[in-house]
Amino acid sequence: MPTRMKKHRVLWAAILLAAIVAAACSGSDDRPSQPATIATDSAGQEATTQEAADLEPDQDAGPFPLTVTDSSGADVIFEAAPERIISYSAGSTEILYAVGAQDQIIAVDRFSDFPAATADLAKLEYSSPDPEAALDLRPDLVIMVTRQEEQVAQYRDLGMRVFFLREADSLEGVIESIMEIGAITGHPSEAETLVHDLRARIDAVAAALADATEGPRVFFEVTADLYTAAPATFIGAMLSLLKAHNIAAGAETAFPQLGAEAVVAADPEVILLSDARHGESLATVRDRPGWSGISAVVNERVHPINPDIVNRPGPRIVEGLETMAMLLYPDRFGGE
Amino acid sequence: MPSGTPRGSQRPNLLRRDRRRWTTLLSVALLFAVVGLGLTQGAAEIPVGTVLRLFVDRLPGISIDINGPSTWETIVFDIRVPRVVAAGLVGAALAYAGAGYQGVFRNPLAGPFLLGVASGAALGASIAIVSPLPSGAYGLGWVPVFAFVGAAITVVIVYLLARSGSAVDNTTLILGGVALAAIFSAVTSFLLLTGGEDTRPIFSFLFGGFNTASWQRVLVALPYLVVGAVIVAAYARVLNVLQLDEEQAAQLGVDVTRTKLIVLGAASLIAATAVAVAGVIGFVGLIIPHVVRMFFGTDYRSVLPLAAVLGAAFLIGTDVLARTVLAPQEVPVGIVTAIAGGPFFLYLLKTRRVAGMS
Repeated sequence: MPTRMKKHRVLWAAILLAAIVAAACSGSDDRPSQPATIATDSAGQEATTQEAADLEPDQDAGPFPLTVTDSSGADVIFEAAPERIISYSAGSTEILYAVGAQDQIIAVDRFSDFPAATADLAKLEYSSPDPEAALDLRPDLVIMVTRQEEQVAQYRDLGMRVFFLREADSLEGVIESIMEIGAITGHPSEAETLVHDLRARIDAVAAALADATEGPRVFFEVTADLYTAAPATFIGAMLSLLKAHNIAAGAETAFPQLGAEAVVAADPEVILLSDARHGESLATVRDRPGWSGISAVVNERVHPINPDIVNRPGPRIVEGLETMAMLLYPDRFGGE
Repeated sequence: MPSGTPRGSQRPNLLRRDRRRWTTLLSVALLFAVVGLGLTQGAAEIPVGTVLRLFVDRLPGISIDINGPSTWETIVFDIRVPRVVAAGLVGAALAYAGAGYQGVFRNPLAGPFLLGVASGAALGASIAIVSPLPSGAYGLGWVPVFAFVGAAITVVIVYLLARSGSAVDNTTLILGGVALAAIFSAVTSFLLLTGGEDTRPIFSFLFGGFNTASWQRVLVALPYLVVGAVIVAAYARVLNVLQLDEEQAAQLGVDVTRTKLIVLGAASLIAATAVAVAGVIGFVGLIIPHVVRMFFGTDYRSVLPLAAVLGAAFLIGTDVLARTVLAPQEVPVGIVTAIAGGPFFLYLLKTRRVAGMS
């Protein structure tokens, strides 16, 4: 008996030791010379002082305290501008940068790759992110989007302040998101300036198309196996705004898969390839069996388009709108 | 060579042969009927008469007036014909390979994906899809090549696992296949989850489909299918003997291990090619051989070709549904095969006995 007890004790001691060693190792990853806790603390202080310096004096930190109802229906309270923000989507990250909140961000999801400065930020998971990794960064604001909806309660239960943003599916929705993110980060006036500019650009596109009656038939290719965007998507909404005829109209789902026959039969006048970075081009489209006679191919109106400027509910969406307008109406928007 | 033909008294044998001839004719007629459907149905509403005229127009020396847009000709000959051919070939291949697998394992649950062909192919395809390689959706892109290699590697691993000395143990073979499939499926799911925004083609592959069928892919696949089919066909008699019992078969002079190795290898080659062409399409390889045995008996010399005929008819038919029920949207054909074929199979199962399985 006693020997067995002893054996157990040794085992427990071994496990404990292993755990301590493991903890020490992971802690020493960033700062090998200092204990883990102190390292994080000093990092936090650094960040705080830096922000204090960056805050513009004329910007009286916005109208704080502030209470904003988010898309989950929760009232999120802000006593002051958040200074340690985690952004869990590329769209929110782009908005944060555009309203001038970039120095308040401490981490982003791994799909946030614009602007280039995001490369220096800590990267977190996008789908099913780990709350532990977030908590460890001691954020004072976590911006979550539709994909993380199920985890909002979990994060709140852990004491994190979460602002849930149901991702916009229209230009107006993006503008709202910009205003909201501007307000809660203490940059309402920048947000307003940005929104003013975006609206002017959207209006300019609309004005140029005011007398257009029927736009071209468009096939928006998401992937080479013919997934496309139906009208009930961001892309679809922009195509309607541009008075284009989306050949996926009438499909049941948001991103339906079409058959080659459906595309050839619809004879699109313009094909937009958001899969150009996967090697698709006018040449590969022309080589597809039966596609060489499609109007868009014959007239060489098969164009690559950067999916990030038409998919992400962020300020660049207006750039996406302008790009599409230019590709659909080269005569109205000054050539291709 | 020992013959595996079941011997009975003369009279019922004659009757059975007569009935078999009719059901065989019926199967071939069914195949022709669904080919007709496949050529006339689709997202583009082309009148049946026009489709017929288009074909007549193609006959040498005949030229008739086609009153319709020129795209109709493109749709029929460049899109529908290769699509029907691809669906027919893949359906035939899966059912044929399934019959081969069931013959070797004498197990009603055996199917062409038993040794991990599907999950190996899916993993290979997923790796190609998340990699920066060009997709090449229509021709011989990287996806089918990776899928084929993934399937082949999987089968070889399962084989090596199950081999002990000169014998190949069935249980180890099946368990090895199942375990490897589980591992590879997990890796595929991981890629699906972490692959970012461009993982939709993985979904397409996991449910299979013919919406981007092309002659090029069919022609590349054909030699593999033919070689595999010829090898399995050469072992049809031996498969009949194998149905007795492995020990008895051995006593009758059959090299059981060699037969297993060759038939499973050839059937896997067929299955891997089919999956590379169209993605993972379940159900066909499992149920069609059963249906064939229910109606035509257990002689593998007729089970194999009839499985091919009915497999082709079944998949062409389900593909017609896949492209018409939600047109212009496509439904992945693997979903249709299960939804349309499942209840029918359960009905057969209830009214008839699963034939030829010990």
